[in-house]
Amino acid sequence: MTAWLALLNAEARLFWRQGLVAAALVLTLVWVALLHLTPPADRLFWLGLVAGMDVIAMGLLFGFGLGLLDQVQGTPTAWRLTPTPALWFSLSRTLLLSGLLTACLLLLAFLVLPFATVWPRLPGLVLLAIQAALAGQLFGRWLSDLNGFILATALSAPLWALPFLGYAGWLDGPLPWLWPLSGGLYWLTEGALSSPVSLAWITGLQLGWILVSAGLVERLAPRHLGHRLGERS
Amino acid sequence: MIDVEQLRNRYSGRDEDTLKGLSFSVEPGEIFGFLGPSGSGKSTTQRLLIGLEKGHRGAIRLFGRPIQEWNAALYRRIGVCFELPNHYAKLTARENLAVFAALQGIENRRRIDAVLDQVGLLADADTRTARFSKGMKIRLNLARALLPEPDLLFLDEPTSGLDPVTAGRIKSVIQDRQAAGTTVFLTTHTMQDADQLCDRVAFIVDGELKQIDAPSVLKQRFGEDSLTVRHVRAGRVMTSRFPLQELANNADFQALLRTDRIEQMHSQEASLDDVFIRVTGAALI
Repeated sequence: MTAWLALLNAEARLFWRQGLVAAALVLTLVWVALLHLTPPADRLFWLGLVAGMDVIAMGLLFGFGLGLLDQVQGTPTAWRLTPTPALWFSLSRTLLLSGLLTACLLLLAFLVLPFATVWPRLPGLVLLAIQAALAGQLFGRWLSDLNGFILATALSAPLWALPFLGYAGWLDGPLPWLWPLSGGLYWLTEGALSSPVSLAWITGLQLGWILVSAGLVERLAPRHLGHRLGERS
Repeated sequence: MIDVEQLRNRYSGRDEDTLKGLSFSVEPGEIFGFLGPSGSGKSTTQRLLIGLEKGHRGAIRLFGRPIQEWNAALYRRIGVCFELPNHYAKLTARENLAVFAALQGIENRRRIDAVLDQVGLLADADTRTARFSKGMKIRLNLARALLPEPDLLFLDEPTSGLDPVTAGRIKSVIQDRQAAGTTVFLTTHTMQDADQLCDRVAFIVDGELKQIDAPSVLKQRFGEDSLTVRHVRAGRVMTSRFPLQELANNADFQALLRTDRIEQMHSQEASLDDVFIRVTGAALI
């Protein structure tokens, strides 16, 4: 437990001193200002679009940036030579990154919309933040340079974009709601006021995507943080 | 402490083994030098020994136990210092060590100051490592490796690219650790360090061990002490080298003494570099 708390502490200092907190805050305030330019009646709709795009952009950029920073600093090699389980490294980063993204989304939502409108949609903001944090970590673990990041972002864009088409009502049917950000965005449409069955299905699907992303980060990533001891040759 | 038998390793996509049947032992309390040029298999061997690679054939035993039977508890008994820095640039030296102490399960906070003191970084403990020089970063690496008070210390090129003062300080820490009973596995291509520090050295080239013995024995067996003479012949300054053995009967040397003006003359003991080149036919790069 001490090890995990130390990791959380180190990650928190890293986020602060590398300027991630400041960057996230500035970006959020810019979005707040822009959303205030829209008519109040349209703000909920625009908040969903902005929150979804902002969170995935920050998640991918920060997650990849932190992964690249790890490579440059060589810290993962040193982590691997400790008795601390590899899972704890991913957990602490996921917690901190999704925490930062959730805080930004909450700030954005509460500064733009009344409390009563935001409250039923809170789970959506949290789901978006966790998914974006894991997607970012995935990029950080799988990609080793900026070129790879640009290509992967471009190639994965349809995956992130489809749910927005459903959210904006440009694409009907279940297709836009099957992808990684769908659950979070669906909660932002009607939130807890939607049919419980639809909510349960789409939340379950979103949690599934979160588990798949976590598995890809923890188990299949080429830059695995575990040691090889205890494994048969 | 370390027993390796017929160790072989092949990276995926390669047609040939990187390590071709290495066998050696490292005794408790000794400094064992693992010497070879870049790409010879030194780092692969070390990565297998510390559990960062898998897929080897042959046997590795650490502390008398096959490596397959070890779990992460091994990392409470070994320390590893790499050639390149492995720490958070935006954290101070003390903060870095505090993180790694927690990851190692070390609760004694005074241990951090103790290792910083050992490597001469106590005065800079609260400086962010981004401001450290290369030498300071390597010393911090060493401090991290010393945190768990390891019985076995793996050092990968610990003095590479460092100024003589910093390199000297690191060598002195290594000698102190040996005096305290720690076994050291030193991977290097710096023969001078190996000569100064190691009780025994192993020469590895292209994944094969060519020789293992004490540096003094290897120098005696394969080296040749010589006399280097700087002399002037017909207005040109020249340097000639003669084997010390049978020097009195060396006709060329005697002729040189008669005909040329001698400017400088000094005897030279065989170096480990010379021995390495003679034994392996390879130069250290």
